[in-house]
Amino acid sequence: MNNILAQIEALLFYYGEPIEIKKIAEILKLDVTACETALTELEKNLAETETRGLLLLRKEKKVQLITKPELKHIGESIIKDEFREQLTPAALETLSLIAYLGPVPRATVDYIRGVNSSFTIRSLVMRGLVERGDEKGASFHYRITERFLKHMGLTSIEQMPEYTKYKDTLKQYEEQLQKPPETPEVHIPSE
Amino acid sequence: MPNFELRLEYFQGPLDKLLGLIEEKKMEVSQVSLANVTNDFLNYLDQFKVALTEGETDEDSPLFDAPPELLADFLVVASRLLLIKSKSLLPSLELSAEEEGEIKDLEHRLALYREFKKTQEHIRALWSDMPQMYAREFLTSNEPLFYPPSALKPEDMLPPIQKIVGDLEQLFKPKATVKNQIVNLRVKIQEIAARLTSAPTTFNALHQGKGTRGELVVLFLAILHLIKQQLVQVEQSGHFEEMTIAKTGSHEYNNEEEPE
Repeated sequence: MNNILAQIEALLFYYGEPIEIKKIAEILKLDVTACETALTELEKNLAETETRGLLLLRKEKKVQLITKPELKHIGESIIKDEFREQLTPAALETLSLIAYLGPVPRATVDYIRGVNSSFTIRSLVMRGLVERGDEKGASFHYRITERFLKHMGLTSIEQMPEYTKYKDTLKQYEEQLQKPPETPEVHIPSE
Repeated sequence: MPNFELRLEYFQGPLDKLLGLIEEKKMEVSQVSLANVTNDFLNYLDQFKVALTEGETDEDSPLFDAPPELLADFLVVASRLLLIKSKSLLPSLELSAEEEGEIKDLEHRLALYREFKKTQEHIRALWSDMPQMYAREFLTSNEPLFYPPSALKPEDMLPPIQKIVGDLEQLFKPKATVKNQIVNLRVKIQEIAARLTSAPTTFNALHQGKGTRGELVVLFLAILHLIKQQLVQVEQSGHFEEMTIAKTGSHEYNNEEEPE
């Protein structure tokens, strides 16, 4: 079997967890660009073919096979209520800021909310909806997790409605304001 | 205050409240509208009751039992609102550059908050309490098995297990030796009876300043037993003074008589 798509699919199925594209290329002895192209094709194939039950989940440089949101009733009938996650008002507010602005330092979340968010962020981290990214300067930058995407039924954070609009909003507001607010610079990811 | 952090999860922040008040009046975010809602905001703040000591809560009270941390955030906003209000009532009031900056900052944050509040609707709309997609875990289909390296020989297993056993021995080695010697009372009585003569000797001489506390007790019991059998005579001139012990008569210790 020589088809790259089939190989990648088999690898993703076997591996289970999110895997770095670079690692896929290494294992299958492909170059990263060829791997990217094949992944995009596989992603399209899965999404557009009604006879397939899977999708490709993307987060940053990692990919994973995942069941389609339309088939969620199958999962729901197998796993029980312990996976139920309700959002309190504070959790919803904090989560939306991290989803649209992430990776984002806590200071920026506090600044926009006008309340100290450390407890809410800690609780979101414990629930696996938010994770601590790299340390930038003196503070950690927080971002959403694959688990969050699974609750949202999205295969990547960029699919959030009006994602780019809000990503730019903070930047625009900062430019409008002559005096920079006491918020640290907002990190815009390079990719 | 138990669980204040959990309750914090259900409180609106000060910016949320402020925005709500402005939108109720169908106004835009501006210094005019902020001055306009200052009273309402302060009234809301009045309803806060901060329980500083436990058990201070009153079930029938309409006041909020608010976490002090949250109150602090509200007070920061309230102080800026008062500044704006003062300025609107007294246009001649000169504000410092810092105060001007704080007013601008509040206006700015509120506008920013209003923008981002809309994103909550997107999340609320898409969010499902149960996951909508399911993934596999790492190497799900790979059953846990023991794969020894192919070059592994049985004798290679010996040093590691010896090391483990050695470590375990260290672990279980007694830290301090507790000597639990059982001193037989009857043997002690015989021993003392044999050593005593009609010439008086002292308790310390019998004890010879050695042995454990247990032996000392047994020695004392043995002597008490010999007194009871009227085999010895003991004299002590005062409390804690040396005791002199001497054999009385020529009776020998009767081995058959059990000490009680």
